[in-house]
Amino acid sequence: MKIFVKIRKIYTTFPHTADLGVEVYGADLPALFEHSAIALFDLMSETRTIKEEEAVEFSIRTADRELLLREWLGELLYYSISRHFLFKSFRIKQLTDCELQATAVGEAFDPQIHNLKREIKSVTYHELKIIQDSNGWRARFVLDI
Amino acid sequence: MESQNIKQIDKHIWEIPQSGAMRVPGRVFASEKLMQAIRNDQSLNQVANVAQLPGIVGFSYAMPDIHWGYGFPIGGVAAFDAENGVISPGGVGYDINCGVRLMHTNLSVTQIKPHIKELVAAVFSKIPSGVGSHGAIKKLTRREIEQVAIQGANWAVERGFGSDNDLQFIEDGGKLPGGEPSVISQRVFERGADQMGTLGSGNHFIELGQVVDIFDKIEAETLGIVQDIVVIILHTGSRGFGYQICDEFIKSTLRATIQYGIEIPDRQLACAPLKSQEGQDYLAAMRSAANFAFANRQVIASLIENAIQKQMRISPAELGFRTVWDIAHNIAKIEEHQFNGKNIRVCVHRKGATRAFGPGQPDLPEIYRTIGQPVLIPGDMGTESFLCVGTENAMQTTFGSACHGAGRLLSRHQAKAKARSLDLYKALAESGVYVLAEEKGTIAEEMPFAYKDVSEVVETMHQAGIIRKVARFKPLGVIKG
Repeated sequence: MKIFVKIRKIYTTFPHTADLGVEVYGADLPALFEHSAIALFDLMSETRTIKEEEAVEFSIRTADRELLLREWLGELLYYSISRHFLFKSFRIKQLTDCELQATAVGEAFDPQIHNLKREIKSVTYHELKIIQDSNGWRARFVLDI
Repeated sequence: MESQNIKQIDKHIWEIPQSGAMRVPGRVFASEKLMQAIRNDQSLNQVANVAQLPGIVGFSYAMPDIHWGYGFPIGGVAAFDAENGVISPGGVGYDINCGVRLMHTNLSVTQIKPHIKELVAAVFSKIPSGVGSHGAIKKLTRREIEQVAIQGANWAVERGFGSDNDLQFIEDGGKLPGGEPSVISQRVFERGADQMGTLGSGNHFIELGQVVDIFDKIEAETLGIVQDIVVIILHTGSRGFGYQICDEFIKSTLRATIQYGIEIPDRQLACAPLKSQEGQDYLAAMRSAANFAFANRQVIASLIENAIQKQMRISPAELGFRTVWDIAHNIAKIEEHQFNGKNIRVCVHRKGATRAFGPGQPDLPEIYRTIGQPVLIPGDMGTESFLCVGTENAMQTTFGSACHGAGRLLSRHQAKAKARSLDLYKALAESGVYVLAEEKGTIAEEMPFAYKDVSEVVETMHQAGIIRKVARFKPLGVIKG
């Protein structure tokens, strides 16, 4: 008996002339935030080579949900660049419209093991959107590369 | 959208009429051919969006290399009244003072052509490039970075990178007054500490080129540019130091935008009144990053000089390495201009646009004062680059501003898809260009077909009287991040 498992793409990129547009999908908001982080690191590095060695806790507050998503991704990016660290998995423990508690797991960057795909300068605010539709939740953001 | 009403008012000038929340019209410099490409992305809407910001003077401008950015278009220029206008971190961008330096050498094409691979490899080995590149020089302490933020390229010269003579040929002498480390967070220092002297990735590059055309002999002579000599073009900016400043100040400026009741059509256009504390803090931080970028290009130029000298086994006099000009193309500056017959002070935002001051401006070094400010317009890595000068007409028409490059035509994604079936190194080698890059992906993203035709862009500005063409360079060897 064949078992068909429908695997839904968790993110896609959309054309942007100078930078990189990202659209992320999630069944609920915590999934959307987790998938956004996966997309960020998948666009930055070969995530299959990253091991889950060390967990880092994040606690973020902002004025609204869209800013919260940008800030979450911004904090992960800053940690990654300043500590030379790559993340692989993410768990949103608590999420409201303005507050987030999360754990991100990964390991220190090792140029002998890890392959970086591109430099991401920042997660911009341009066309930043979180939308709910009949399929669940969608987020759109543009990365400055 | 307001931008759909764009109309041609001159051979190379188009206008987006003022409507809706726009405070001024939009003005786009483009040929018919370039306008077809410009209409394909959202950049014209972004020109109209910038026109909505408080205190904007004259027009929201777009140069012929305009393309879709985030918030402001890339290739956009906007001047805001220094008394009543705003300043916007998004109007400068993340790579603050990303810019271009042109360097002269005494080397001839025949002298280096047989050694081009070794020469490119020698430079490549000395200047870290690619994603998160670091470690060109010893990691800087916080105190050293504070000095960089204040002193700019002067800091680098004091530490033995290049000479005093370089400084007069850098915009603002390589030091924007008003750099202030006290407004910068610890995170900014951390992100910049090990990136001094590094190229980075994306569209940053070092190019060894050949002077193939001289359009104006007198101006070329003044600039020391002679047919067939080898020149070097460096394109990089303030690295993580600038990215972090932009990131943090967009956040604080967003709060100020709400506090001061400013309505913006896109959060990336966050802005604060220039005279407010928030505006002044960003200005000081942005100037610090601009100074970091001037120092970065000074350090890299010196590393390039040493690498070439060593590889070619020649003396400094034989190499004849010197800075022709160093220009910023992501910056906001307080300048005095004449507008409608009056002297005004404005904060000119140039995002993917360069200053193009005409002859006689006191800001220019004496030797260049009669010809106008050099304007460096690199094309893509496979075709050509241009050296031009600014004009009096630019002072009257665009607040002394011009284009900064070819401008992207394809997104990086589209460029990669198009490159998939090609042997990129072979294609470039066939056009006479030897390329070394950290990432093959970067080459795909930066192939000539990903960009507009730089000669069409430059010709448009030349025909519109904003700049005058002086010389054309063809690449021989390129280092990509």
